Amino acid sequence: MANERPHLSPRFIGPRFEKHSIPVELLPDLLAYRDLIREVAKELFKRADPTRKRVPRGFEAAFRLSLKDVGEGSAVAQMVNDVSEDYNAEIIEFAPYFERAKAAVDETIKSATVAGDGKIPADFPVRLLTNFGKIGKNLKEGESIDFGYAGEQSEKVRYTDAVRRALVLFGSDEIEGLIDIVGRVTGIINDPEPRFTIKVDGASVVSGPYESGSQDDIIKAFRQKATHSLRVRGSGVYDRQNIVLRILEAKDLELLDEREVQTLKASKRIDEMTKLPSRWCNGAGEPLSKEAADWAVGILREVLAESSVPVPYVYPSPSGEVQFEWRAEGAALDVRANPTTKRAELSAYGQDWDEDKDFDLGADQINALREAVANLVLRLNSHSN
Amino acid sequence: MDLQEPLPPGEKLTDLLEQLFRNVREEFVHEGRVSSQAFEPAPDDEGLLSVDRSSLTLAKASFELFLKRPNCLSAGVMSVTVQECEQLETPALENPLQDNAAHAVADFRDHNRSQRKKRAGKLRDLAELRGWSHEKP
Repeated sequence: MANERPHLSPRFIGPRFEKHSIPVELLPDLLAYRDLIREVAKELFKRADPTRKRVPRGFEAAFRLSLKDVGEGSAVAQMVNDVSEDYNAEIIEFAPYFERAKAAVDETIKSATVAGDGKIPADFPVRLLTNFGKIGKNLKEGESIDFGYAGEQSEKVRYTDAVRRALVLFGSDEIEGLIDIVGRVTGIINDPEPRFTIKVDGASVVSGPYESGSQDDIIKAFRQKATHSLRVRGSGVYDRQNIVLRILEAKDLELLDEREVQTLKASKRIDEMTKLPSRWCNGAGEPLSKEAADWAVGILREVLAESSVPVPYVYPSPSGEVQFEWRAEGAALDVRANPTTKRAELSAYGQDWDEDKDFDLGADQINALREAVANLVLRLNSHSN
Repeated sequence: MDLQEPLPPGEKLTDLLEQLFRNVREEFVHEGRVSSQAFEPAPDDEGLLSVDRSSLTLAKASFELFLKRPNCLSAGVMSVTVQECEQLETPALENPLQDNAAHAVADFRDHNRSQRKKRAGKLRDLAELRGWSHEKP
């Protein structure tokens, strides 16, 4: 134990880590973080002695991370530099390179945060920026890793997917990441390996491999492409404009009809309301919290459980409500769902009629809301006929 | 209403055919369809909907002025007429500002929340029939 060098305690922040555990799919991120520090340390060593093309034997042994425990807050990966097996004078000599490398990596991360100055520190080799692509690839919206964590008072080195993107795209035109796309399957190729092409809404055709177990889904999506779309979740490659260039792995496939596609789009639009700037509407209006957005998506799906109700247009409101609007010529139905009060206000008008109703969704009036919407949609449709 | 200290609105506008430009926030456009909220006074607007008078400015100039304000992303400018505001009992009133002499308001103050929503929806319907006066390039 005496030979465990200073601790590294990356803190994983986000809903997935609140039970003080780290999903195994994120462990490769820690490995990639260690490898990046090693690479930077090697570069620093070679810069200090330009006559050397390689680092000495045993250099990497001076930095060998072990995960000892997962602590609270949300989840803190408590790691030590475990050099107890072959602790010697060389390790003492090389250790400062790794400490400097760790500082350079952290400073580079900080430079790419919102508060950062955007300048890559001199100790960090620019050619290694693309290595950040492997760190945090599996982070979801709202999640981050604080690589500077050493207790509540520590200086934050907050790493998010946005930071990852900024760093990688500084040194490259492409970046790998999670994908969630919807489109029509336009082709299947089996030579030399099974691949499919998909036309994504508002984007060009992209292609990717698929596993043999997914063949039935892919063929079905291809045959039904006139009426159905395929939702593909997995990983892929993005360009600087955040457009998917190609699929690397198609993990989850889901065949959707047009109404399901529209529902998914409306749900995603509500999720986007969590990213609105503060005071977005004439000094009023805050972004929705994740919980508020999830609640509103739930209400939308409940209303759409009645199959005669089409998918509405969806808008944020500066009062913190989500507006669902159905339209017909000279008539409209407006539902404002309030995630704070759990109430919904319905108002509708046509050329010679109007209607108002309030629903207490917290008191389980969702069925009444669904029924009212269905009836008024019928009225709107008859109005425009 | 907007960022300046609001001044009390003045006289009713009298040219019934004058168009009133309204910037439509990007947040209020979904798949090309405009929300009724684009024509509804926001909670801090005290029942007064900001518009710009076509006799004193151009739709493009109204759009460009809007973009200069913080957090203001406009999808474009739509318009209603003084007469349409009158018919919906949201009369158009003079309300010039220091940095915008063309500024006027549609007055929703006599109406409760429910009535405001429906009147806003009807103004939106009329504006959509007319189409964009200036669309974001």
